[in-house]
Amino acid sequence: MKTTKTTSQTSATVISAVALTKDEIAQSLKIATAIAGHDVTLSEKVDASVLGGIRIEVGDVVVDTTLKKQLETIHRELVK
Amino acid sequence: MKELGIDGLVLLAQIVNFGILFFVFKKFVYARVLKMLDDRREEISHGLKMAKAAEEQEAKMKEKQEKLTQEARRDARHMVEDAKKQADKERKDIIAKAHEEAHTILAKARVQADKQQEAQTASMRSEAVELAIEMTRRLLGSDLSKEDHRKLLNAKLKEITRAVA
Repeated sequence: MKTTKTTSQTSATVISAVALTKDEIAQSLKIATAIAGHDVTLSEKVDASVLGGIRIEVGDVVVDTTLKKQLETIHRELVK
Repeated sequence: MKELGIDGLVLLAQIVNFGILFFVFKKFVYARVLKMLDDRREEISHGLKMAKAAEEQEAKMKEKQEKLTQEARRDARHMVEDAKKQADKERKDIIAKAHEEAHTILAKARVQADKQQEAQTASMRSEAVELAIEMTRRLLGSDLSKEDHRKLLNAKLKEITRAVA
């Protein structure tokens, strides 16, 4: 797991099915910083089970746009 | 009188004898006989009165008995009618209760059948959805190229950026 540090102690995690490029990491960091409202420490994690897309966790806030999450949502709605 | 064969002296004696006899009879027997006759008449009269009273009493008893018999018959008829009404009411109640229980059992059975059907339908739908999701998951896991991943990542990053901006 790679970590991109800023001046803050708040930690954030970005999860994707494939390794992120530098640009993608930078965009993720911007997003995490915007969510936290201040600088964060970003950790990158590759997890093939998410299938695609990206999941960003900043403290208690989770932004999940992975295909796994979308499939779970579809599954939940169809089973209702 | 001698020509007629009647002795005057004998006749006189007989007259005297008759007079004595009449006196004795009148003095000692006649009153008793009269009293006996009066007693007997009174006894008969009393007996007749008693018989009449007994007859009237018997008639009253018969009338009373008839009345009591009629009342008893009427009461018995009422009791039978009441018993019939009660039996009829109980029969209707039992039938109504049986119908109600049958309806309840039928309704419960229908509800149970509906629930089972719903559960089966839900289970089948869930299985179908899980199968479809699993197939999609496998297809996405194996068929997405790196380029596809990049495109998807960038699209999602832009989407999130717009959302948090």
